[in-house]
Amino acid sequence: MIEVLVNDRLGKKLKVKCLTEDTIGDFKKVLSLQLAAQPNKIVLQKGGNVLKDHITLGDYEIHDNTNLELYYL
Amino acid sequence: MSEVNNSGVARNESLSVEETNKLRISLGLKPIPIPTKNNLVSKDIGLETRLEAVKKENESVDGKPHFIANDKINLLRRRLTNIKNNIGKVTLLDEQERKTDPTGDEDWLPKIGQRKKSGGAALKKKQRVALSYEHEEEDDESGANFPIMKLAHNISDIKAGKDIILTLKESNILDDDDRGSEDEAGDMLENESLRQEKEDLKNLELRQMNKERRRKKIALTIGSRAIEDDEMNQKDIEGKSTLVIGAKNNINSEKPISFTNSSNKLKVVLPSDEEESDIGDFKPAKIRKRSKKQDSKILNKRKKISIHHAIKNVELTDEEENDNSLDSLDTLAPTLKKGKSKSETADLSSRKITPEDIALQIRKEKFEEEERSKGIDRLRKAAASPRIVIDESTVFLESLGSTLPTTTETDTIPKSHIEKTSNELVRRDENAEISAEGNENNFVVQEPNFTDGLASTLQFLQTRGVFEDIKAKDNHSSSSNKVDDQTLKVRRSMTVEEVHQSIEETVKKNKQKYPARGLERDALQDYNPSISLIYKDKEGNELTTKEAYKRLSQKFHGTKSNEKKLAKAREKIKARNRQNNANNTFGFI
Repeated sequence: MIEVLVNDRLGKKLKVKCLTEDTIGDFKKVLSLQLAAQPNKIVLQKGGNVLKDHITLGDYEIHDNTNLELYYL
Repeated sequence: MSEVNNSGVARNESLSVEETNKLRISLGLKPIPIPTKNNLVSKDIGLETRLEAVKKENESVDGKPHFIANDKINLLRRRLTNIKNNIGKVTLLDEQERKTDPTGDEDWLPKIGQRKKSGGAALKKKQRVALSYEHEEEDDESGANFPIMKLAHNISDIKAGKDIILTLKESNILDDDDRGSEDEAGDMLENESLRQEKEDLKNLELRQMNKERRRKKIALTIGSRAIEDDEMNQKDIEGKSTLVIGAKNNINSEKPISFTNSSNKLKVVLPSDEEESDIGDFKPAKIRKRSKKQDSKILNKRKKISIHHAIKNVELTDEEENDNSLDSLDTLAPTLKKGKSKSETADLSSRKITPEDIALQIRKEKFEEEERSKGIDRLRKAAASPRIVIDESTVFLESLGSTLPTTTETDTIPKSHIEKTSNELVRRDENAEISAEGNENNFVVQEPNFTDGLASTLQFLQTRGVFEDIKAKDNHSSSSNKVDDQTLKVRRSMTVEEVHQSIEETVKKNKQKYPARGLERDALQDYNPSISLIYKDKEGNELTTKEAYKRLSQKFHGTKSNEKKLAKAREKIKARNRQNNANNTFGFI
């Protein structure tokens, strides 16, 4: 289990528990439930790179306490 | 549940594992496995509190302080030990192999290669040295027999972190035999690239030196001592260090670097022959010296030449005098000719006198006589109008010449010649003789040089009293004129005869040159312009000279002109005939 920090820089900073095998799409679903937002209206970035839904967190080398940028469509 | 801050300041919001698991399950995702031992984590607490809880738990279990990092530390330790073990195994000779091979010492070399291959890349030298120590601790007995290899370079030359390939250095077999007794004898290891670099450097230096020598900017003063110094430097640079392959007992393991320092040995790496050949490149310096010598020789030669010139100059002055004496034949100073002509005759006598020479002499004498007579004539004229024309041109000299003979006649003109002239002249000559006899020596010494300048000639004339004589001559002029006229007439007749003779001679020469003209003359002897030749062909037609000539030549050569031309010629002739006939008829009419 890993905890990923998600920050939208607008006042919301979340810690999301997840697994490295989870895809970005799954991660987005969990996050959307926490945020009370639609998962298809969320964009995640890591270091300026937009993360694609079908790729796992492990593939993006997202580890424990990794910061992700959150944007709303 | 999540804590939402209404103030707007961001706060960490997180769900518990259980809640997230519920969410995940609802979403159809795999639930997150909950931490194993206890369900303490299920409470809503921060990370720090959790850590504290874990601490307490661990204390309760083991009675010792345990950290999460302990596992990691343990893991690291294990890895370290593994690496160490591996390093211990990576020696040039495998322990097991050695044990299995009792004769391993002899064929260690091929095994080294094998080991290297199994190891992959070539090993660092430092590493190898270090490894040997580890190994020697384990196995002291076998290490004693390993060979000592020498390195051609300093340890400092070999950069750490770079793979190097050491090869056996080339050496002369004979040299090895010579050094066989020495304990340091053995194989040298060297880095090929380093050696190459050094050679290149040396070559560059030599090239530079050679260039400078060619430009002759610097004098190469390289003696044997300099070369020796160079060699010594080279040796110092190539400080040798021994490398022990395998292991050896007597190496101090505490100070691994010290052995390299202690074993710095001076060893002549290059065979002596090669060094000599290297020195051979400096030989051109000798050539330079030689060139200097050549220069000095040239200078000496030049000096000699200059001396020679000086001598020649002296000779040239003599020649000039001779030339003057020869020229004096042409000049109008017959008084000077007597002595010089004598010297000339002496010269001639000294040579072989040929009939041609005699003829020349006779001619000269004749010429002299003529000159004298001319001079006398001029004198007469000058007596009529006694003036000296002072001018740059030859007129002045002529005028002088016209006046001179009166004074100097006595010395030059033979008495027989004088007798021909007037009696009064004879008298004057006698007087002059008397005066001249007194001053003869001086006169001979003071040979006047008319070419030098006006002053000397005028002085000479004053000393000889010419001007006075000229004035005196006015009285005698009338009497001497008659004799001169006679002589002049004789001369004129003589010259006329000579001219006639020359003309006849030229005519004769021309006849010899162009004998054909005579033939023509012979041919034209019977020429009568009143006779007119008429050429006719077989048919009786009149032909022009041109046509007749053509017929003749064709007959002679046996040729014929073609039909067209013949027809044309016939047409012409016919036309002419017709015209002639017409004229005749008109004439008749």
